[in-house]
Amino acid sequence: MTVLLQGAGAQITFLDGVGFAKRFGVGEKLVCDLSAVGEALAVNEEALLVAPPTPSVSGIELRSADFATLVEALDYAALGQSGFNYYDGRGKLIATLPYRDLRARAVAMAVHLAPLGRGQRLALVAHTHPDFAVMFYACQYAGLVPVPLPASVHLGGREAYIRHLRQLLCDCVAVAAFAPPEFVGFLREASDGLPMALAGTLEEFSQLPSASALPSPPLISELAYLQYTSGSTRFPRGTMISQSAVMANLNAIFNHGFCLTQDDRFCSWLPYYHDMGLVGIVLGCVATQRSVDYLPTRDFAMRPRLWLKLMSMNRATVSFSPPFGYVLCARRLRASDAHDLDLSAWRVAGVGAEMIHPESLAEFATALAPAGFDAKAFLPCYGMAECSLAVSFAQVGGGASIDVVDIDSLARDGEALPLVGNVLAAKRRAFVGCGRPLPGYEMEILDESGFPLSDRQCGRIHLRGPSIMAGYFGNAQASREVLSAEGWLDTGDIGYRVDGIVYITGRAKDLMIIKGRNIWPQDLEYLAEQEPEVRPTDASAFSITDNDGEEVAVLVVQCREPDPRKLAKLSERLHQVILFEFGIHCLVELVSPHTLPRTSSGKLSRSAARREYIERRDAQCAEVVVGRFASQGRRERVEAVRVAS
Amino acid sequence: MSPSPNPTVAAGGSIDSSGLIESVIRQALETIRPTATGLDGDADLAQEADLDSAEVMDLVMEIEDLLDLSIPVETTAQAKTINELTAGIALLKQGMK
Repeated sequence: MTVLLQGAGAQITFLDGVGFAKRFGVGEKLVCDLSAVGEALAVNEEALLVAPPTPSVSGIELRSADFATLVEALDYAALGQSGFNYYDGRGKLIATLPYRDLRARAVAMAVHLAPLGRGQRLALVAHTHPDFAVMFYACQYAGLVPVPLPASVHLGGREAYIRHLRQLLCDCVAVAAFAPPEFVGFLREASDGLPMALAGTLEEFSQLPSASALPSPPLISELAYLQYTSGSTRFPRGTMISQSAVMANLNAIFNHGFCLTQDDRFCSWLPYYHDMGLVGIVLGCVATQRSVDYLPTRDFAMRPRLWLKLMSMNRATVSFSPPFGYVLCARRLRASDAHDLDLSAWRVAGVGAEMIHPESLAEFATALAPAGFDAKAFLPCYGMAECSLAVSFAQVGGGASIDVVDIDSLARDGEALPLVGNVLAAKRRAFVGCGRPLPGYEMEILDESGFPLSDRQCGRIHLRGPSIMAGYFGNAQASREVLSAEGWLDTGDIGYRVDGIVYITGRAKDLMIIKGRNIWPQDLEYLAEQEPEVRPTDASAFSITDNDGEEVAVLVVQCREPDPRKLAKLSERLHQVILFEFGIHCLVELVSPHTLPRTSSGKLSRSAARREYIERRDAQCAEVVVGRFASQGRRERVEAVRVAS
Repeated sequence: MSPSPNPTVAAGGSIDSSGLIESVIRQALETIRPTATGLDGDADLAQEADLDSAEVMDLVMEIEDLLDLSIPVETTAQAKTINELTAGIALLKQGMK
């Protein structure tokens, strides 16, 4: 633990009687390491620049998410010493939010929110900031439904971000919206003209007229929050998660996924608008009274090594990341870094949210072995916002266990047959085991006709259980498409089971995940259709796997234009407009009319378009295939800015 | 990757002229995309230099390190070109005085 002393009269006294008092000059600072001398008995007010980070040990008996509601969880956590700690892009502690303060501030704010109406949606720009946590829990005490909104803007992306915010505000019919100071300018513009009580900062919300008392606490059947699941800018889908759903999931995670001890401490750079960051870390740590050290996502994207530095400095024991976070870190490490870091306390290195490639984890483990990182700490998991968060966890302390299968029978028959002995690398494909479903889930893997499949046969994963969403907000059609009347959720993921352990092999749904970023094909198709040369339903988007095993977006566009120069310009324009709007490189192919395959009902078939694209590509020379994306060796370019859930 | 501080910047004093900020942006751009250093000041930076959003974060980090300041999201959100980014950072530095 470190205390910063500043200013005249700064003074600190220690329990063991080691006096340490000095009169400081104005502006003079001293950083001293308390662990070297013992616990502080007294630190006078002038001395404190920032309170020290909250301790790992809460001082109260650890309760593992056995609460009925989020409010009950915070009421209990507030009795202890633990809480949230916010670090900036230089690794400096800039704010602490002990749970007792979080509760006091949330309760004080709740009386100002309650008049907005029980069950109404309050949108919260989910920047990594203490005010977000206060507003989120204030909604809980006030009976409002918080809706985290993304907090991430591209270079020059002001207008696109404002459009996106506005669409989400309309989709959830927000009665008011909050943003921390850094984002409130965007929010005000996005809310212009919308019928909302207020779009402003926490300060402004505290000026709203207050109710005379707190409303009755939330029922377990009431909604705890809406979570936007897709990165789709034009077709947003907000999962409705009830108090009982999120608490059932947290209870399962922290009693069966991985158990915690009094000494466990979390560290996270995951965005608050991502299910793993919001539910797993923010809500999960309150529900287990764990302290968390936060690094804003944008700062992690710029300086990934800071994550490890914070882990090392505060001896964090638990941290989660999509695979690309580990890749980004490993590639940015300098030779000397590993020796300056101590990651020996890191016992749970969760990995999920996208397909896990074993090689990327191995690269990280090898690079950080000198820092005491143990590859057995990797904890692969599987989940999605539609299930609150988690579906399954691998065995704690077992690392990433892989199943090596025959690539041919997988492609031909959808069968994941195990390979033994020395087999040519080209014939193998390794999948990471994501463990058995948490208690409470029923899982079925179905073939295309809806019949259950046996072990090692790949099919669509369907789930039923207490933590599944109530549906997508205000979108009965999208809800019906994924939720059956009997309560089964069609995850859209493809996988197989071996002795109950789930292996994810791909996705049936159209969602693409390009460098950690969720991209929906309809968004790319819509952009293409805005070009004058392109008519509606003349574009089809999908993703392919490049030679390096990375997912790449492809857009095939039908076009009547005969002039090759104009075609080249259109292709370039499409590439640029997609880069601008989504920050990804997309392969654009222009084809003649009537090329794109349609289903019997006349709809474009993305899977058939993809198959035919690959056939055309294989027929042509490699030059066209590789394209600008892969040829520039951008494998290491990892999107960390926008990690939509 | 470790940027040696630009000597003119490290020297301190009245160094906040647009010319200097622009040269720092170009210096940062050179480490990310060497082919793009001669980019027109009014050209769309991400598109003309062909930077995806992770590369943009690298660029912002390089600029932050060279100038020893934090560039808030408001500033990058409003800058599509080198000239706009230069003006935004100049405003920031003025505000810090």
